[in-house]
Amino acid sequence: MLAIEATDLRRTFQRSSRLFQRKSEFVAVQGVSLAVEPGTIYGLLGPNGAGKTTTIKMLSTLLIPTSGSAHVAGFDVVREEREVRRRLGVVLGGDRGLYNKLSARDNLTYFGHLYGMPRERIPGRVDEMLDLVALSDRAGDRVEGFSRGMKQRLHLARALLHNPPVVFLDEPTIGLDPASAVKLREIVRALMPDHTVLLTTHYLQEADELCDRIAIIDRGTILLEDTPQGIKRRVGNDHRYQVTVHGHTNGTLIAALQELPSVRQVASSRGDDGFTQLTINSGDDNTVLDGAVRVIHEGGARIESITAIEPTLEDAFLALTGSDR
Amino acid sequence: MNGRPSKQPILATAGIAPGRFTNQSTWELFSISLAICTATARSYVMRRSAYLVDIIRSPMYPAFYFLTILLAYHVAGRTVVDGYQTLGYLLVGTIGVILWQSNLWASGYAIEQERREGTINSLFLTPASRAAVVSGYALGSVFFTILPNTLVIGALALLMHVQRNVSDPLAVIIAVLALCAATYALGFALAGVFVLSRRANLLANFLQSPIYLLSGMIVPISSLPGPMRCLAEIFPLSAGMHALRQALLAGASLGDIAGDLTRLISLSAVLLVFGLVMLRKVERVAKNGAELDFD
Repeated sequence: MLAIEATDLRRTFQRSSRLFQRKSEFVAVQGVSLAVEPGTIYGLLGPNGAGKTTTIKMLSTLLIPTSGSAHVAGFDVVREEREVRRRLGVVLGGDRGLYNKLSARDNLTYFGHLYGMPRERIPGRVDEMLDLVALSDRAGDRVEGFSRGMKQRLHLARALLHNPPVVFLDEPTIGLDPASAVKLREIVRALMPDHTVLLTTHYLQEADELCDRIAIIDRGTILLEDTPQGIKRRVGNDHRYQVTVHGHTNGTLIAALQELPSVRQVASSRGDDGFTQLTINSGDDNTVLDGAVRVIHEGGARIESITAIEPTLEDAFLALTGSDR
Repeated sequence: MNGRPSKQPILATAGIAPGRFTNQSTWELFSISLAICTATARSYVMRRSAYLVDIIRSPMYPAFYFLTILLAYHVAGRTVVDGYQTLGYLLVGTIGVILWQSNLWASGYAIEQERREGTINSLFLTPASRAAVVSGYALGSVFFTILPNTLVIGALALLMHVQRNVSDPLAVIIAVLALCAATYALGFALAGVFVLSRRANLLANFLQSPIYLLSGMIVPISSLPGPMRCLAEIFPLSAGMHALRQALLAGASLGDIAGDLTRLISLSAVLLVFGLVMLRKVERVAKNGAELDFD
């Protein structure tokens, strides 16, 4: 059984800016399908307004899909919403979602009751969670005095309190300092393999580091879904080499390189150290390097080093979603 | 972080298998709902107690309200209202105001309060019964508002020598409880409606004065213009106010006020069922229209 399964999810909103103004329809998510295996971390990447949060809200029963269907832990998110909620922990993040006038401990205790946990197990579990997110020493302090990072950790503790098999994390590290973000990622990693995590993030490095599979979403549609390596391979099908040569290069050499079969682009940048960097983009990694070395030698330049540049997730993301947004 | 988080101790010791939640008996469901209700009441009292001004305002407001209306009647030269001594009439009216305000701003306003605190999504992500949460707000309000107010109003009644004529104390107790249940039921019915509005506080304020008038809390129903009087006659709270005034000020027995109480309790039951249905339906409507968030 899949931990999360969505088929052709679609969600539209009515919007109007003024009273009595005719409402227009806005499509936030159009035909999203997901299949997430248990015990994996699944990333949903996309620019602002891509439909990530709307998708998470539909899967977590906060929004009813306009059409399509979805199951979490085997239960339908519309018809069996209470069963879904019992098996799901969600971090929507931000400054909202916690009772600011209550302490960290009182927040977790209250949510323990709301999740129907046995009364006698709540105190021990709350201590365990506070310890997990390193808030034990601030357990009695009101949440209103917490930093963004502390609130985010408390959100995570709340989401894990009832030991749900499925956890949704919506931008969990946004606004956190690097140290807090690293710590939060450690906790997320430690959830495997007993839990399934659906993660949305803007940080591609984070997705690359954590996720077993990634879906790239834009304008409400999933553009590509694969492992991080697979996405890089499929989108970054250009092979890039950086060739460092002694001295300066001239236009004739650049033109000769561009004439080579399979070369798509050659860029040149001159450094202050007497070296020139040539970046060669090619659609074929087998023959281009031999040809490039030959052309450079024939042009009278001496090669200092050659480096193959691996495509990054960021390259893939920008290639798919466009860099103009 | 206190050291590196280890995989097993983090989540395996919770002992809360998801399956525990399914196939619950009625007793288990009741027990969970009761725990949610008391936990919500505790959370409500703690949150309200965080504001010093709320601790002072809450018991004092009805006293100031009572004295202001009393002064207005005094200026108008009225010593008797609807056959009762003005002091007694207004004292019972103030009890009605206390109950209505407590239950409107607690149970009726529960979901709106969550929306304003930014916790509505966190709350709606839990499987907790919404009715149990709303009831928890009402229970919290009993401790934070109704009990202190009762003490203040009781002290005022003693200090001002309000004339009482009680022949059947049980009738007084039952009338107070029935009125309490009716205001709770009305608040419960409104709780669902308030989920639909992002400006429920405006709606609540808008409703307040008409409800005071229609229930005869501070102005006799007999003084209202014709159409309003007809409306007031069928308004559930007006029967409760009449029953309490009769039992506390006119020596009425339980039998004398049985008609009023039956009307009050029947309408309260209808409102309660309406509220339960509304809470279920309205959450779905709100999720359809994406109305749960505050902004």
